[in-house]
Amino acid sequence: MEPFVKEPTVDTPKVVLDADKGIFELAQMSLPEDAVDFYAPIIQWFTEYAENPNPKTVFDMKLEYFNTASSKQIIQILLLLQNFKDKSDITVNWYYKEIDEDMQAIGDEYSQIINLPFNLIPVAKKS
Amino acid sequence: MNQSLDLYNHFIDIEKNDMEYIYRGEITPVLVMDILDFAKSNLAQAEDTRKLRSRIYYIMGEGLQNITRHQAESSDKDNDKEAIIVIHKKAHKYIIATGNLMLKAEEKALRAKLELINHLDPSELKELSRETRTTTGLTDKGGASLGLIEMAKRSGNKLEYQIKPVDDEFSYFYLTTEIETESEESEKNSASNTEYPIQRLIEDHESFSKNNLTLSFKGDFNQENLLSLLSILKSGMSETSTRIKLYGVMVELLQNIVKHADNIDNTKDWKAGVFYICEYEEKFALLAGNYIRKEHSRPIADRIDRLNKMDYKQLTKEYNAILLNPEVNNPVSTGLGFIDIRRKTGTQIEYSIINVNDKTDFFTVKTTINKKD
Repeated sequence: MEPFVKEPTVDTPKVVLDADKGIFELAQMSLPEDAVDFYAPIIQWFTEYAENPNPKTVFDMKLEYFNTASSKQIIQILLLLQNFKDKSDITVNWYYKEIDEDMQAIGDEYSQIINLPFNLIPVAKKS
Repeated sequence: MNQSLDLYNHFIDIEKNDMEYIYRGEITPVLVMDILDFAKSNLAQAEDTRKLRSRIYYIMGEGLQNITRHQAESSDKDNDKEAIIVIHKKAHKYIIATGNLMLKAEEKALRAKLELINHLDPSELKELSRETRTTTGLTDKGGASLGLIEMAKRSGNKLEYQIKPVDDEFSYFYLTTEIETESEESEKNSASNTEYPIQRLIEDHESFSKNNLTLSFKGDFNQENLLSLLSILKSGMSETSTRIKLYGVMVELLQNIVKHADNIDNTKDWKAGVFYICEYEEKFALLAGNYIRKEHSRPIADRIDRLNKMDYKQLTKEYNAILLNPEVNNPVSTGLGFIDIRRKTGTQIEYSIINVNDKTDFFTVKTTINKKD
């Protein structure tokens, strides 16, 4: 399956979806004007991946910030992952800056909504 | 004071392509670069020629760097001792206005320089600029007065200034430079009928100090301006959990305007809005205001009323219900913004509705973030 890679911009995240290398990652900032438009190809990629996934899938959520419009799309991705958990051993790693209590709280809520192993991983502040 | 009404009065005369940005606080070189980036992206959206844009950009750079080089530091953290930067665009004029603390001891020399510059005609200015560049006239502050000379030379206008005593040691130095965007042949207006006279700079400075304002923007709200404002916020503050919250709340407030603002004359190609940040010892207050069609204002107000009554748990329940409802998939509006703001701040959202005409209201929202660190 073709990898899907996008370089980050000031308002859209870094995206790496590479089944061969086993990397599934969103990082940095997500506050696009049109979140549906931005996330559509990502959701499409996961939809295709779900048909024949790797035995193991680790989804690394490393977004430092996402707006409410993006949150609606991110939950879609997580629900998609949940749908094929019988075919792949899926883990969600939810990274957050340890000073970012809101990102921690959202991760905590999502871990309750989504029925998947969910690791909340604090990242120390850069000195 | 009634901040909402103030917001509206400050806003009422805005027209397409007008813009006003005011920052009050400590001016660092990094911040200057961010403000210049912001000005650059704003200039790029304007319909001015490239030559003119680079001239305006240059004058801004000189004016802002002038502050970082020459501002005096006062150990007294008095509110009105912070520097102020104004970028004001109205119709065919840009005005760059700055105010900063200076040592009283340097006042006489500065006055003499400015009087000299203002008495020279364009060819004499050119000559003085050349002389200053080639001689070793650099002051220990590393700027000669080349910055001022260049501002006068490139703007083609007199430098308007005022020096106001602060205490025994310090004065406040106000400076405005005006740049016309009309063709060179167009009649130059005299300083007396400028849209942003120096008196207004002094009043704005006083009002900003009195109301603890640190940043204001009015103009066209679009994604580019929003991103620039956010980056100014980031470089103006070190990363703390309060700044992270401030950032998140600001995104939702500003994107709300970008997405939902109506315009008074129903032209859809720009979104007029106004945004303020106030900083107090214990908290930040963010205010945003925009036009909205009358039929929309009551439903939004009702929604805010309802959210204001909810506790964190209820807000989360409401948030998750919308999150998981596949019916709600509007690319521009999820309805989650205000819930997110309520959850992040833990404080009430205040609003006010000001009647503009029979079709339009001016809707303002105020939210407070308590400082944690």
